[in-house]
Amino acid sequence: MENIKKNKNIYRTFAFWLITIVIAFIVLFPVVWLFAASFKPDKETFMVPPSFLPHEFTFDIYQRILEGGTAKPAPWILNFFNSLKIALVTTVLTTILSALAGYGFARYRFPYKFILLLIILVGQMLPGPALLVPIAVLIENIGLTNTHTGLILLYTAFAVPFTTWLAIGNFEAIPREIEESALVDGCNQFTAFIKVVLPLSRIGLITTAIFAFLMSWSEFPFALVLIQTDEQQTMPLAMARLIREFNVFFNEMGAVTMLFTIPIFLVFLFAQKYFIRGIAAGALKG
Amino acid sequence: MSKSSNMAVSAIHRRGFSSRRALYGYAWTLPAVLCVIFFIFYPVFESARLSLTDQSLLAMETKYVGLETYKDMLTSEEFQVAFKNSVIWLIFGTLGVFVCGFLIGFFLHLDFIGSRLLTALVLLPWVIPDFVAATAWKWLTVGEFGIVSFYLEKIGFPEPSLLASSTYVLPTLILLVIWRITPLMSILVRASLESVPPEYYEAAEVDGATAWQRFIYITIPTIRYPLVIGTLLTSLFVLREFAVVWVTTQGGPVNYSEILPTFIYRQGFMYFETGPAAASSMIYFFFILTFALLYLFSFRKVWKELL
Amino acid sequence: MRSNRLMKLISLRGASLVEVQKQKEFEFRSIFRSLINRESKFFLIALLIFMFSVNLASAVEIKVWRFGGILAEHSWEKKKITEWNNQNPDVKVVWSNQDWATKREKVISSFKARQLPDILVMDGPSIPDFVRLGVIQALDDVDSNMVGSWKNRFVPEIWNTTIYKGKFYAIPTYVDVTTFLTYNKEFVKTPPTTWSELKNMAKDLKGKSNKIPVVIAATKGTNDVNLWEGIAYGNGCRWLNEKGDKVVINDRGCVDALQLYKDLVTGGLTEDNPQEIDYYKAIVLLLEESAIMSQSMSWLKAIDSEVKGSKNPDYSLTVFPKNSNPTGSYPSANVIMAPTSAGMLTSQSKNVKAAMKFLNFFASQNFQAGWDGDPIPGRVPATKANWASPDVVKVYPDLVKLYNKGTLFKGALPMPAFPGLVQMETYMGEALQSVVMGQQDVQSALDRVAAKSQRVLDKVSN
Repeated sequence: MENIKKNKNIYRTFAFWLITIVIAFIVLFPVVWLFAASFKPDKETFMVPPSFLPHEFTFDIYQRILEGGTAKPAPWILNFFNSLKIALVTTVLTTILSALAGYGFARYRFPYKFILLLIILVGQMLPGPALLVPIAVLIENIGLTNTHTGLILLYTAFAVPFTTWLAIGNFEAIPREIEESALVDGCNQFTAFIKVVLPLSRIGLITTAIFAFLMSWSEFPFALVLIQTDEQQTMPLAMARLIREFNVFFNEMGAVTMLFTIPIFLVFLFAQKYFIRGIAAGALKG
Repeated sequence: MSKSSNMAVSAIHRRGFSSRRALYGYAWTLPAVLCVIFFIFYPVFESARLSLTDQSLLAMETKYVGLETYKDMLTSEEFQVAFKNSVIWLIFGTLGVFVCGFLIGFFLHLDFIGSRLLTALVLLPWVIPDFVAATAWKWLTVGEFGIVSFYLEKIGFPEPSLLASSTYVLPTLILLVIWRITPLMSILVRASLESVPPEYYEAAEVDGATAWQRFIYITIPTIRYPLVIGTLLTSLFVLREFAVVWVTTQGGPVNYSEILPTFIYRQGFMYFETGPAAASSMIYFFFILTFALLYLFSFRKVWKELL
Repeated sequence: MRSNRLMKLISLRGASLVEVQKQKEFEFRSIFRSLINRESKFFLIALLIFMFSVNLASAVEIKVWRFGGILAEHSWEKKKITEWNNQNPDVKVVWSNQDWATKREKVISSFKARQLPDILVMDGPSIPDFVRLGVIQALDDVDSNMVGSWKNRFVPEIWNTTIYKGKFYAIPTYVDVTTFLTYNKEFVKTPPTTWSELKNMAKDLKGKSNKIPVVIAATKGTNDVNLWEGIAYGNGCRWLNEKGDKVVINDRGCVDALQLYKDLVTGGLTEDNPQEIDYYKAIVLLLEESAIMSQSMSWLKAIDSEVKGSKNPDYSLTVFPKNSNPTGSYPSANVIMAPTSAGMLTSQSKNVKAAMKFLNFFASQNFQAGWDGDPIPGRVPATKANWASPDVVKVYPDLVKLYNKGTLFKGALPMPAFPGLVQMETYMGEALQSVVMGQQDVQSALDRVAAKSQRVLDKVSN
């Protein structure tokens, strides 16, 4: 009996690993190509016939980046921190706003609620190119062109619709009894929200935060139009510099992409423990 | 329960429009709503105003022509092609994202060694800026230089230059979008699967339910809301994709991969025809709105309680 | 009673919460308002100080946006700007390199948001659109003496490329010239000079090797359309008639030029997928020895200096073959050319005098010297002094010979440039693709382009 069980486990693990590899391959193929390109010497970038993995492995481009990269007006590190700052503040702001709004929509009834809901949803529906010029004019009129504040507020407005709807779903799923017991214990609604509901919806909040972060981290067209000076540029803007009038510097693009995504990847890897059932279930019981 | 707590509880259970409760409702929700209105709706009104003109930045005068610009757009062949492509884009893009996202999300939920790593990896297509991903895909599939077309040719695929083929360009780009947006769906699915309390499963198992039955009767109903709303929201993301087409083919070859966002961009920024561009964006907006309302209507059971 | 007090407490706390919320919103709004007020107060004070300080040596800041450019140009420009800033502490130039692909949206949104810089360094063909939009102003309106002092140092035909409706708008640094033919000298000893020679040679080469005989570029990009226009103008084709009120792109000369493309495709003499090969990939195919001949513009050496390919073919550049008997209604143009990095003054500049001072430097031979082939290769220079330099001979030996003879620019026309052209060129690009993909025949494709373009022309000329 024990042997059969062990065999089953081995097959199971093997099957999982196989599927994992297939998924990883499909999902990551272009990404791997980009990363591989970052290790190719210049002359291999446009070789015909093409190569996937570098024939000649070199850390050339990384050295170049440390020295500042191609035609850089501002160092990559500065752009990286600009992006990081904007994304973090946007995330915090969005999470707060959408948690509040989500709770309000989930727990209260008030006139015109559906209209407001629809407004929030509709904010998601407008095509980027159409909004480019009006938003540029608007931001200029409130004096926030070329500032990170302007971008932060704009990105928050972009992320709020999506995250609010997620938050509504989150809070809906939490039974009202819990808040009721808190209220009975003498809290008001707001304290109940903070002390009881939020910890329970931790997974949802983290998801919200992740989405907000990702949406603002790699945004390009509005940053392009609103940022005027090189020092204020975000990473995507800086990366666009690599697609030049003639050439595309793939190896540098691959390297910068790698530097750009690896921190996110690591953060996400470690943030996942908040996803795991065990902790969440524990909170519920407690 | 004591009388005081009874009254407190009944105060919450009351579902009428007490003005105080309404005020609370507004207090919670208004910051977010105002933010969206200010930054998104105000520019939209500007766009709507423009759509009623025939403005072209290059023409000397701008006239208010009412709905004539809309008529011009709707009857123009280029617009119709872009519209048709956008519909295909929406349907197949959303379906693809839903299926792949659900499968991957479910798979990740099964929590085996390395699932954490895979979850983080699966995120990468979304983290990379859209024009970088588009440029990478373009060079991977282009005739002589691309790895993908190289191997496609080797296995005898009829049109290895995917982005140059009139039949395969739109499917390839839709695939690119599915690739990019699946991470959102998978994370959504995984998070919602994670929030199903395990006690439900345990209870069902005790009652003798099979894995399949547990799936149908517990999992699906519990994650119904996030799934339905999540699919709608990701479809909105699919509809907003612009750079993936513009950077790779600019809507080409000819107009086989032209979708409404690229059409609008070209009208506004290449041709400087801001009136027609605004009108097309309004039409696109109404199309999306109609789709969303239809979608919400067909799934109304799911969120009726909200109202 | 206790319950009443509890209810009161709850309601009080609730009310106070709402109050707090409202208060917070009010606070926010009033902070906002006071910020604006504070800023305007500062502005007023600053303005007063400025007005009363006669002898204050104020450093003016001039912003320049430079779109595109190759690495060699960027480093040269950076050097020169540092030099300028050191020698001119009163006029500080902030030179910013901007993305080429998104230049139009960047300029338009900045224009509408009143955020344009003082100077734009952009392509000449944008000038008609920008003038109509009111983005740039005429340099000879601002300071005709200064402009007059520059004029004689520039090659006249190149100087004329930035004149629109009789006014001078931009200082060229070089021109990109089209259309050229690059060929691998190992396979092609004497390059073809006529269309029939080209086709025959290509047929020959096709039999002998598995390389692409001649690459043509046919994406929707402007550069690719320009490549075709060079060939078409060489056959006597034009976009507009002399008066400029009728689109004649479906004229015989143009039809034959497009037919050449179609013949190359149907004869299998070119690559399988011209609709996704752009001007850049066309060159790289040649540099990687996958192709023997290729279309090109004069910037070939510029691309080559950045590509660093894996192979090193021995190639040369010549003017693209012409029709032995041009069939168009207009004179055959030897080549067409446009400046792609020309300095323009925007209409939103707040320091016109200082900007003009810098533009004077921009036009000076000190600044322009970089484009004589060293350190910047692959650009056909605009100043006469550059043509006399020993470096340009190394890059363009044949062109220098023709220049010294006086015939280089004789048959050269400016690339087409008029409002609405971008839209028409998009239609043309689609027609190119449709023809090389075999979906339309040449005459009907061009007829459609002419009809649609005529509508654009009418709308724009009212």
